[in-house]
Amino acid sequence: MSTSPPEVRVDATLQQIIVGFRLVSAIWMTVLGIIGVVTWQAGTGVVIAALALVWGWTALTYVVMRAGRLQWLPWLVADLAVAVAVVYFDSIDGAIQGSFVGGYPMTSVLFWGYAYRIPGGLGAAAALSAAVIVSESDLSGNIATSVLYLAVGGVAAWAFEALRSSERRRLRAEAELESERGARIRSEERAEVAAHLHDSVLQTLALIQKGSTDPAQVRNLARVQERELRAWLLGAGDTVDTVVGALEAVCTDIEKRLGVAVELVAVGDRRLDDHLRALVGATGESIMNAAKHAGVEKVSVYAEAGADPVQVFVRDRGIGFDPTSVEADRRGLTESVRGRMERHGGNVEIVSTVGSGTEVRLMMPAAEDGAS
Amino acid sequence: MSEKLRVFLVDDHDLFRAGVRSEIGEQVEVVGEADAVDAAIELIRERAPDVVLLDVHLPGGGGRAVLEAVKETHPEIRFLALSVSDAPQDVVDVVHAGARGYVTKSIRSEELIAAIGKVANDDVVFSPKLAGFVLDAFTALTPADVDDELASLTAREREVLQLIARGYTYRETGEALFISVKTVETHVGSVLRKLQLTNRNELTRWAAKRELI
Repeated sequence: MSTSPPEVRVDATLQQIIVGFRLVSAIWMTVLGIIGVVTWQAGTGVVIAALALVWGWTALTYVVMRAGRLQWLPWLVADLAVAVAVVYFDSIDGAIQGSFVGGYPMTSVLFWGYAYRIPGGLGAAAALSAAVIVSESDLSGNIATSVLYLAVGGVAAWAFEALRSSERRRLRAEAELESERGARIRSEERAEVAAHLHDSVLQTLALIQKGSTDPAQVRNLARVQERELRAWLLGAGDTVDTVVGALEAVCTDIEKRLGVAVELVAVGDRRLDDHLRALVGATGESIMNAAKHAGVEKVSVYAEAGADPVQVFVRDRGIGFDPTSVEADRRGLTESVRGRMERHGGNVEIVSTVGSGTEVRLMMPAAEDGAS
Repeated sequence: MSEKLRVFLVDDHDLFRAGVRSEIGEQVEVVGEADAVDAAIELIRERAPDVVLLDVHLPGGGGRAVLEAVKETHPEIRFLALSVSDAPQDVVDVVHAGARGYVTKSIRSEELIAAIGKVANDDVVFSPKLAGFVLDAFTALTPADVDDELASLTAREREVLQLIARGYTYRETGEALFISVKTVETHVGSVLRKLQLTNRNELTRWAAKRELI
């Protein structure tokens, strides 16, 4: 089991924020540089050189970020050197007042704090403070600048670290939850497998032990079990390519959707073809009709799928109706059931008595083969 | 006042037994319960109930094992099989072994009490499911499987079973066929007897065939 902390997503966001801050600083520095040249008689050449350096370095920062090397020590050293150079340029611009570097050197402090935490942030801040104090003569201004660098370097590095560790905690909690959920799912699956094996394989083995003197029976049982187990392992629980399989699916579906019990009893089975699919569809509509209109809790469905014609009976003990005078919506359903059946060569009989329920009898001629 | 029927419950689910007991406990006397084959055999022999409600699936041999053991010593005790929805072969197997009927666990309590009464009275309880299973079993038995006429249904018996499978009560079945309820019961009883006399191997073959569709 690996103990390395999960990858911290907040890192990428922090890098983007600092690089964004550097970009804003470069823009601001450009504005200040223009103001410096126009109003404070700052040396045009110095300002242009400083701006060229800052813009070039900012573009390079973006490239390095994309390459994922922002925490590479040589890069950070060079980055700090550029910040020191910018401070130096500010001191030799010959302006009578003001400074045009703005927040740019601070971005290097942020990178150091980001890469080397609080010591990194404070170290970079100290280096820049030293550069400021050496190059500028305004003592109180220098002290203010140094304090600002140190404070921002320390606080930012601390904040980065706090964000990271909270993210790490969250990821760890998520991972724990995930593994807990996985364990629960596994144990549920295990219980289900055990139950299934008990109901199928163990029962069959017991039968085989009892009937082990009759080789034909043992072979039969083994074959049935093998087929059942294979189907189960492949997840092919439903055999919807047969009439009974399709009817089971329809009944289960209606039970789930309408909360009415549908009891299916089937004798024999055969493969589905288009006509029999129509029969299954018409059966479904008849069951729906009973479930919706009859006011019952249970609908009985009986299918003789092995016979020719295939017959299905849908019966409810609900309110019933008078088939000679049905309401429009009810007629619509019986017509759609009837139309569907007749188009495929089948027929429908509806027997209903007010007060004692309805039986829909559906008949569809079977194709020659496919019965079993 | 007539004596309450004495009923014994065999089911490996405690909750289910508790549910049945509370549903039928007023109309019948529940004289005992068991959750496994061996305990069931011993207690049923000891308490000699009128009717045993028997789960088809039981740890340690299934309902059939209980039936066979008890029938050897107490042939007068009646069994009614009761389960959720089982493989047809298991249900037919328990009926073959001597249960007087089969109902699903979704049965309403008044229907269950009526079924218990019928079984105690030596009648047979065919739910639509059981009628379907039996029809299926006899339909699938090819003439080569059949030793004698016992293993085939008469046209009338088939009609009766089909109506029951369609959800008709015995009374409605009688009305539809213009025969009395008593005659319906006679037909159902003879179907049960035929099923019980059928060679078990044939049933296994049917079950295997059914699964191999």
